[in-house]
Amino acid sequence: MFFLQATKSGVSTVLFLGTLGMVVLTVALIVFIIMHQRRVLRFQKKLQQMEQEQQKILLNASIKLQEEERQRLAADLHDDAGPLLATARLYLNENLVNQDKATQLQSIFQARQIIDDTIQLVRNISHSLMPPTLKNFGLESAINDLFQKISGSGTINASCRFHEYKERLKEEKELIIFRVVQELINNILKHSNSSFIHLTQNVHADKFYLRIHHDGRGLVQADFEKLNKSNVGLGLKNITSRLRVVQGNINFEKDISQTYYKVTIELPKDEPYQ
Amino acid sequence: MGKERLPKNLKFYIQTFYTTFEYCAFAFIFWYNLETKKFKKIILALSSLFLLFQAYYLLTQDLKLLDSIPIGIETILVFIYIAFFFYEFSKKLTGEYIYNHYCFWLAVGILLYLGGSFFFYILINHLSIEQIEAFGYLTYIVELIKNVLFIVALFVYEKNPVNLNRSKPLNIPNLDMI
Repeated sequence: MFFLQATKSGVSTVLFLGTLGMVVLTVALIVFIIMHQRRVLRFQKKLQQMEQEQQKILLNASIKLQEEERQRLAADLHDDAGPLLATARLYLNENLVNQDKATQLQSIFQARQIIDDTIQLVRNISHSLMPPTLKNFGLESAINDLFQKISGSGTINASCRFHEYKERLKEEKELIIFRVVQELINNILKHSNSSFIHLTQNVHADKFYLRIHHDGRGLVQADFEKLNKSNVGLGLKNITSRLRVVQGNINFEKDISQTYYKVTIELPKDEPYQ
Repeated sequence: MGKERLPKNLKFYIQTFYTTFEYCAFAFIFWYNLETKKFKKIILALSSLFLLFQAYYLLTQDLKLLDSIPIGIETILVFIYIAFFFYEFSKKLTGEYIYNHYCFWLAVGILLYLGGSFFFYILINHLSIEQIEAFGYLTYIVELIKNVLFIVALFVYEKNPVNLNRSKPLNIPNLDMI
C-alpha cells in the first residue's frame, strides 16, 4: 500500500526502478541459467570423454585377453597334442609290417594309448572353451559343477544356491555370466585367501541377479573402478567388457557386518531360452 | 486516453477476457512442455483457482483503467511455471543446450514481457495520464521483445525437435546367504 500512498513523482520513481529492476533481474536470471547449463554440459562432455577412454582400455584388454587365450590354445595343441600324435606316428611307421606279431601288437597298443590320451587332451581343450555342462544343462548346473570341483579340492568351502532359475537365459548370455563367475572365482582363489565362497541367484522385476560372498580380502566398488581405469587388472576389465555386451552391471561392496565381501552382478532378464 | 468508444461493460468484459486468455495461453505452453506430473497438476490446480478468481472479479468489480489485480496474479503464476520449466530442464541430463529448446525462448519472452510491464500494470490505476503516457512506451518495448523472442522460438522449434529422457530407479532383491 506504500505505492498507493506515494506522491506522483514517488510513483514514477517506483515504476521506473521497479520495471528496470524486473528487466535486469530477468536478464540476470537468463544469463545465469545459460552459464550454469553450459558448465554442466562441459562437465558432461568431459565425463563422456573419460567414458570413451575407458571403453578403449576395455577393448584393448579384451583383445589382449583373446590373444592370450589363442596363444594358450596354440601352446596346448603344439606342445601336448603335437608330440603325442608324432609319437603315435612313430609307433605306426612303415617298418611295423616287417616286425614280428608280438612287437606289432605292442606298437598298435601303444599307439592306441597315445591316441586315447590325445582324444582326452583335445576334449579337455574343447571343454575349457565351452563347458559341456553349461551347453547341455545350463548355468545352474555348470556353476554347481564348478563349485563342487572347488569344494572337492578341500582347500575352500564353495557352495551355491539358485532361487529362481526355472527358465534358462540365452546360451550366449549364460556363457558370458559363467565366464564372469569363473573370473571372479579365480580372483577370489588367487588373491582373497578366504575360507568360503557362496553364490546366490535371484530374479526381481525383469532383472537377473547373482551375488558372490566370500570372507577373504576383497574389493569395493572404488577399488574396482580404479583398477578398471589403470593398466593392470586385465581380468576385471574383461569382466566389465563381457558384462557390457549383455548390458549388465557389477557392484563390489563390503557387507554391513564388515565380515564379508559381496560381488553383485545385475543384468536384464531376457525371454526364456528356446 | 481519448474518447470512450466502447460501452463500459463491454470494455470490462474484454479486459477480463484478454487477461484470462493470455494467462491460459501462457499456462498451456508450460503445462504442455513440462514432463513432471506434479508440476502439471499444480498448473491445473492454480489455473482452476485463477479462473474462479476471474469469474469472481468479473461479478464483483467495476471497470478500471486496467485490471491490475488479475494481471498481477497472472504474472506471479506464470513466473512460477517458468521456474518449474527451468528447474525441470536443469534436472534433465539430455546434453542439449537450453537455448536449443523452443520453450526457453518462449519463457524468456514471457519473463521479459511480464516482468517489464508488471509494475506499470500494477500501478496504472494510480497514475496520472501524463505518467501513463511517459511510461506506456516501456510496455511496447517489452512486448516487441516478446514478439521477437516468440519468432525465435518458432525458428528453434523448426530446427530442433525436442527429445528428453529420464533415468529409472534400481531395485535389488534379497540375495543374502540363505
